[in-house]
Amino acid sequence: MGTHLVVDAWQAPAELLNDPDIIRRALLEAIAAGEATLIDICVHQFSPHGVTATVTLAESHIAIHTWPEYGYFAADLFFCGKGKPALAMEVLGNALQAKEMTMKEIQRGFPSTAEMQRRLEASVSL
Amino acid sequence: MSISKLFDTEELLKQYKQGQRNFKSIKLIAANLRQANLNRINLSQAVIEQVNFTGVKLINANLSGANLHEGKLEKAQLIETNLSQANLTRACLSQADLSGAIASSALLSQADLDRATMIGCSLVGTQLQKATLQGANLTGATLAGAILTGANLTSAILTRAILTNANLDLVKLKDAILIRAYLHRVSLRQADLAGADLQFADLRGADLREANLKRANLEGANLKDVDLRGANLSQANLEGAELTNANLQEVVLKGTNLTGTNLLNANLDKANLSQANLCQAGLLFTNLTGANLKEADLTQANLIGANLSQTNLLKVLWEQTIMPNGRKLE
Repeated sequence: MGTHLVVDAWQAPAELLNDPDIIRRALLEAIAAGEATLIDICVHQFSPHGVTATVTLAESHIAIHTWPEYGYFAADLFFCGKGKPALAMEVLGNALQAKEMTMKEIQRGFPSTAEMQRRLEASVSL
Repeated sequence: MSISKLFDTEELLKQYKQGQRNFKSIKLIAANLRQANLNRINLSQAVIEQVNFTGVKLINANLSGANLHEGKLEKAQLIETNLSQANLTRACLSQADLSGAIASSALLSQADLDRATMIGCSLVGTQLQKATLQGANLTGATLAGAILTGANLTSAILTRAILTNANLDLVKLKDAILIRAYLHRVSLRQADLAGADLQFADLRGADLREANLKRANLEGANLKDVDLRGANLSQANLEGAELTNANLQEVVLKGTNLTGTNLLNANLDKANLSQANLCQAGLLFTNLTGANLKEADLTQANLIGANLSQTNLLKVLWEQTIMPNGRKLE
């Protein structure tokens, strides 16, 4: 169905992670780089610190949650069909100046291993 | 509720008062529901013809797929109502409240939405050709992929609205407010944006050919990769705008404020820049072939690598300008 990137990023400057406008702009740059189509964007500032932003895309979504006090943010980018999620994430990471980043790529929409096993067994028993 | 059952006003209101909310797929013809309270009603897929809904309360109602063609919904309260795929062609919705309503893929061609409140309304893929939305409030509305060809949005408020890939050809947006609107890859050919406020709007990759942007405020706007061929930007404010790779061929920029704009690699072939203020503008590698810069102010502008062949430079104000060869004038 699509590619889902689950990202943990550390060592980003707290002032960037606590600025909703910077995060909004970083997301818009990421959307452009990822060749995605923006439908809606919601950015929320938490008290005393932290920002959560969700982006609705024609291709699926981007979500980001920041913990400025730890210089950490969690992001996930789900792109189905067209688009370049890895490039979008690269732009987002650069804009928020994360020095360390891990990224897991999950292919969504395929049957689970257990389901595949069940289907295989069913076909053999026929 | 039985499919396509014909209702009259009395029967509908009676059943609604008794607690019935599901009127899915009913037929309602020539009814008078003026000022009626029908909050949370389910009229999805209903056929509603010649019904007077003036001032009706339809808060959080479900009208998805309903046929309200030419419906009278003036001053109706449609807050958070589901109007997705509804047919509202030529309907009257003037002064209606559609805040938070979902009208994705609805048909609103030639509808009257003058002075309607549409804050946060979802209009993704909605057809609004030749609709009239004068003075409508569309703050934060989402219009991605919407078709608004020939619509009248004079003095409408579109602050922070999202219009990705929308078709706005021939649209009237005179004096409209589009502060921080997201207009990525929109088509605004021959649109009238005279006096519009587009401060910090994102217009990357937009098609603005032959658009009228006289006196428009584009301060801090992102116009990277835009096509402005033949557009009129006279007396407009483009201070601090981003115009990298913009196509400005034959554009009228007479008396335009271009202070501090970035015009890197822009094409200004045959553009009229007479009396334009280009103080501190970045004109690196711009094509100014045949452009008219008569009486323009190029104080502290950077012209490194710019092409100035056949450019009219009569009475240009040069002060600390960096010339195409890198030499700085005193």
